[in-house]
Amino acid sequence: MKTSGPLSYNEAAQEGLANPCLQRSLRGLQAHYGKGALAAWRSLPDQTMRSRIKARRMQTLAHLDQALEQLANGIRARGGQVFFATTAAEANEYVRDLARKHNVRRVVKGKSMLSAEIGIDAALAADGVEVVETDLGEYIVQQAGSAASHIIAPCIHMDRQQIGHLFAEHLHIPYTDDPPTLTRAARKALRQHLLTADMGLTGCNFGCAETGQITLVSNEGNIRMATTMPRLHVALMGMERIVATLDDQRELLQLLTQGAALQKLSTYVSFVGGPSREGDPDGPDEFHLVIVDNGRSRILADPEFREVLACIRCGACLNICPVYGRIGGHAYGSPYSGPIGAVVTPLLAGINRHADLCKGETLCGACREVCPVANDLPRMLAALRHKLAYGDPGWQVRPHNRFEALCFKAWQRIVGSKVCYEIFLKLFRALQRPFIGPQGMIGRLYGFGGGWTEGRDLQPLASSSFRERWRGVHSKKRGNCAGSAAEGQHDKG
Amino acid sequence: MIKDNQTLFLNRIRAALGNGNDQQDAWQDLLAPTDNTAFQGIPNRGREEQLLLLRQLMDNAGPLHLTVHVCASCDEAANCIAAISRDSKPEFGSTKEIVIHDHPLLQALPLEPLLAKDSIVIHTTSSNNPEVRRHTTNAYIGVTSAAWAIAESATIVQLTRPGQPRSTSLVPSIHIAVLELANMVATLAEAYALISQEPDLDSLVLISGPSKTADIEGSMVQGAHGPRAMHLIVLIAEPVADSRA
Repeated sequence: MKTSGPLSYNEAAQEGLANPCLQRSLRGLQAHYGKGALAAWRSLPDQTMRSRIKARRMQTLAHLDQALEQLANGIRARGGQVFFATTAAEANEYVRDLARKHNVRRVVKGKSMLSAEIGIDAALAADGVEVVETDLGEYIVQQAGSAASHIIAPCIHMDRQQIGHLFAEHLHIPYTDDPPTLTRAARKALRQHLLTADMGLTGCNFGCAETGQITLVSNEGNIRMATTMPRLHVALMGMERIVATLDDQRELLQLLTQGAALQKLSTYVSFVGGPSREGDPDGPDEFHLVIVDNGRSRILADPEFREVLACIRCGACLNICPVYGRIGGHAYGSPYSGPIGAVVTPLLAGINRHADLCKGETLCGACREVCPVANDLPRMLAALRHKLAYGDPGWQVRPHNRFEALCFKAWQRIVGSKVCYEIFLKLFRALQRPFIGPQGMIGRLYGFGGGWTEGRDLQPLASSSFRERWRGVHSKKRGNCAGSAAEGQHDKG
Repeated sequence: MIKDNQTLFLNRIRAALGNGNDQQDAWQDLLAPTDNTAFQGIPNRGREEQLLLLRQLMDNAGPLHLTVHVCASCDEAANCIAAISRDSKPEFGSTKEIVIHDHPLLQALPLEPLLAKDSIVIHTTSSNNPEVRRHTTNAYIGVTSAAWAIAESATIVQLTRPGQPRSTSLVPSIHIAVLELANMVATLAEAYALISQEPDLDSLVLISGPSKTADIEGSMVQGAHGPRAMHLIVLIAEPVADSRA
């Protein structure tokens, strides 16, 4: 198994395209969930629901300081502890300290993308703490030494045979490719971990300011286990994952479970507001909420991108995106894949560093249509491209490709002048001739042009342009055809 | 250090938002109930309407693999639990042990004599039971009472209370929840209205069927980490005294 880290966008995309299992799974996923989510939105009894909730999200973000303060106060009032971490390192250090102080040997994790974003596994492992993923898909990916390739279906790039071999090796069971048998084997192994772990580490779907609680959803029950059986529960929360009221939480919850998995409600929706209370025979002795910024305040400050913080991480945009639907999640090189990843990963981890992501998307608009909170991802992808083209000191973006910029400058000159343009056409037509193959396409270019023909053929320039043909056919009728461009109409006349 | 961190963190957000100090009012406005989402109150439903809701819940329960049993009396409900206990085998251990919430409705079920016949042991999860954890881990069945059930999504609401721990509906392989017909509600919004009236509530869970996963090639399997099977027993007996909470 290869990890996604060291591969470039292009290499990982090629690998995804060449993985027949991934291709099959992605087709199934998109046919069912992507289209299903669109249908679900169309059948919402209240058609204003999505835009109304989006407006609430944006209003809440505009008061994020007050919202977070109120949430923290609520949790502290119940004996929970809240830590505000500006960076990933601060969050990791806090959890590490906690683990040391409580002599934690084993941590069970509920699915959390933020935990992958801040790299907490490695931080804990450095202290010799055993960290076990408990979501079945995440567990499989962890055993395989791979990375999640979908927000909701982490091991979508693996087929049952691969998982069968993996379990035969790691769980010492006879090889089988039967999903129920494999699930039972993981259930048995993970039950021991879940019942004996010292710390449960989860994400947070929503924090509610009004009630001072967080909400966690899962279908497997692993998150309930991780928040009930260990003596410590630590929840990692991206600072934007907050709602003002319980009403907001309910409506977002419905959009989340519909968008993610076409469910009316996830199997388990847990509300957690603090540690176990007197008289409760179970639940954690300590509850810690770690609220993480790690670059989010910078997004908040930019009106162009603030909208992306309204995202509820349902993964619906992955299930509809024609690019994600072919290349899979590993190409995105981050826990956040698909269109949302193409926007949020560059903003969190460096626009130049992840320049390929926004350029790889097609701006077709499908993600905007399926997004439960109607995030305009194509607009933000285009804004990122703009920054890459011209640079932006505010975001420390330098022009991504000076040569490309120079070429476009030259092109601007050429198309700006009729004479230059016609000379260019004549020149290129002459130059392209030896490259045109038997199918009438340019199959291969050399030098810097080689990139254009990598993986696709290039259409050659036509032997005469529309303008030239127009001139040839209509040169005598020039006076009559002002304002109309349709050739056929004039033929009749 | 923690307080300093919070101040720095929140100041950074304030700088990002460019807010002045006059924003407090607007935030309070945001917390006020909004007209379009404000809940209109739960209608006072008669028995017939409650039965209609039950019918709707049963329709929605099927696809979730949630088995619903309608019982006319406490005896019938106890027999139903006993039958499930007899017919199923422990998944992890060899002994047949059951954990049951410390709840008046469940204590009223004449279970002990029925289960004793099959030498099935019952443990109550009362606050003064120091071995709840061990009992729960050993049990193959957990019996709980549901505060409410939601018809539109076949969901039960379980509130964590002294003597009613969260692990009872989670750790044993089979979960049986018991509900009185009067506690059926139609929608999630109705359930939330009831939840928000609960004073001092910090832990609750909404459960819609047994635990499940589709992580291996999208193939749906019941029983990932929580119960493999879930039963909901609905008591439709005409209440002798008003037992509504």
